[in-house]
Order: sequence, then C-alpha cells, then structure tokens
Amino acid sequence: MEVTNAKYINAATTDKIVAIHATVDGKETFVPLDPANTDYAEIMRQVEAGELTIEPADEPPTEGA
Amino acid sequence: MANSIDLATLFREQIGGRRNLIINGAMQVWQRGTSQSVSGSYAADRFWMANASSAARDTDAPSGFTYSTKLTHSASDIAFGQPIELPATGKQGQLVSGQTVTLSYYAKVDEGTEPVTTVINFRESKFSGTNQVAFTSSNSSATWTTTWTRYTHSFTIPTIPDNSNNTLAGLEIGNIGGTAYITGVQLELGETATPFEHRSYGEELALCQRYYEKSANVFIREADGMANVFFKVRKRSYPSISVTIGSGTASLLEYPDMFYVSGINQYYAVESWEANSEL
Repeated sequence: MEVTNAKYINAATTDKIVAIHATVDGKETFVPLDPANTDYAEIMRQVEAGELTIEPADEPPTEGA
Repeated sequence: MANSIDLATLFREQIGGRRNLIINGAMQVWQRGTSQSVSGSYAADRFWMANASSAARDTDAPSGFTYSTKLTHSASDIAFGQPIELPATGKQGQLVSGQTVTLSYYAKVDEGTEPVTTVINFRESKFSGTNQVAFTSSNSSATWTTTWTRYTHSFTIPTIPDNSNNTLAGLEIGNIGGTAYITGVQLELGETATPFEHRSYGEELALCQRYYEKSANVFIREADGMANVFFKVRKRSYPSISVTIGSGTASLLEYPDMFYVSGINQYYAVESWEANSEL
C-alpha cells in the first residue's frame, strides 16, 4: 500500500484528532485511528519502520478568530 | 449410493441455508469495478488477487453460474483468496478445533493443465504470517484443466493459540501459473461438499458492504454547513473514507455507521464516496 501526504486531522467541531488524511494508492483517503482498520494498521507499520511520517494536525482556530 | 447424505449426516453437518462461509462465491458483486490490476487488491468483492496482470469479471462460467473471475497470468504465479472474518479477535466460533471444513469451487485454465495448492490459515491479517496457524489437509492440491470442473478439499480446523490477535481464516489458492477462471467458491462445515448455495445479488451485496461500500452519485442536504452520510450497512470497523467532493471539505469520522462532511455551502456536496473496512 502506497501512502503519501499523511497528516493528522481534527474533528470539525473540536480539537480532538480523529483521523489521518493521506493519499492511499493514489486516492485521497481519511483513515480513522482504529487498530482494526487495516489501512491504519499499515500506516502505523510504515511509521514504525521509518518509511512514513505523519504531519501534525493544524492548530484549531482560536475563539473569535 | 455415492455422494448421498444420510440422516446422521443431516444432523451432524449443515445442509440448510447459510452453509457457505464465503461471501460472493459466485462472483456477482464487483463494487470496485469489473477489472482490477493492482496486486494485493480486491477484485470481485471480498476476493483479493496477487500477481495477476488483471482479475476481471468474465461470462465464461459453468452451468448454473453467470460470472467467473478471470485471472490473467503475466510472469509470477497468481494467488487468489478471501479472508473470512472471525466472530471476535482470537475466537474461532463455529470453526471448532478438530472438526472439518470442506472447500469446493469450479475452475478451469485457458490452456494445458495447472497444478494449484490451497491453504487456509488463521491469521492476524490477510498477508501476515505472524501467529499464523494452518488448517491441515491431505488433499490440498489439484490440477486444473481446460474443462470446467468442481474441485473439493477438506481441512481439519486447528486451535487458535491463547492471547493471539488472529482476526480471520484466510483462504488462499496459490501457484496458479496460467490464465485461469474460478467461481462457485464455497467453504462449509463438515466433510461433504454440498451443492453451491446460491444467494441473490441483494443478499451478497449487503454481506459485501460490511467490508466495502461505494456510493452512486449522491446529493446531500446540508445543515449549518455540515452533512451526515449514513452507510447502508454498519461496517466491520471504523472505515477509511474516500470522497469526491463537489463542494466543501470532507471531515470525519468516529463511527462505523456514518461519516460527515463540513464546510458545505450548497446541496450538491459529495459526488461519490467509498468506505473501506476490509480485513
């Protein structure tokens, strides 16, 4: 599985990280942080093997911004 | 009489409905498209292939079937299989240790003959041998010919070790060294290969959608810039989501039943989506 452009993302309404946004086999994909999800398991394997880095999530907007 | 089922067998083995542990064994459902060429990917729903230049739906099929999967050979031996979900991690459920399961399928090759080998393993994931436990068999090999033939293999079920993370029983037919066709795949409890259990397209589609679901083009009515999209079938796990966006930004996703998109400013928000929760 080819994974590129991996980045954590927050939920739309909170600053809780809920998924990884990545290009998986050429397809823009949102991968949940669920060990039972085979895409997530493979992404974590690649991270542990030093083959992939996941960018941190954007800072949530500050109140009133 | 050969191949008869006596009363004792009737009660010992399943001959009623829902015998087949394989989903989409008649190759009816192809949500990802009717031809796939990426090794290791799913082709007909629930069936993966490796090393074929393509796995495609074909109308060359034995009597009683509409479709087969055509596995086109290129350089390496082809493998073809399906991961069967266990009821829970490390739990073998109806696959009771020491009992027998019987695999049957129809196959043929384009030319000559082709020796193939079939294995079933309890595994943690479909391509990982970590903590793998093999089913044993005394007839796991077959030689395919240019004539549609039904092949059967029986396996003795092993025991999953305590504290293992095995999640599936992986069926794999390997060493396929030529272009081949296969359909009518059935795995059932007991020592007898009973007639293939035909299920309707709708039934098979719903069973497949637990693992993968692809929408048609959809309209979504937004509310406060967000919209929820509900799956037809609850997924095996929280699924990966790929979306084609008309307007807005996909966001996610903490549920096996739905996902949502945010930043929408018109009705036509998501053009299509895929939810993947395959083993």
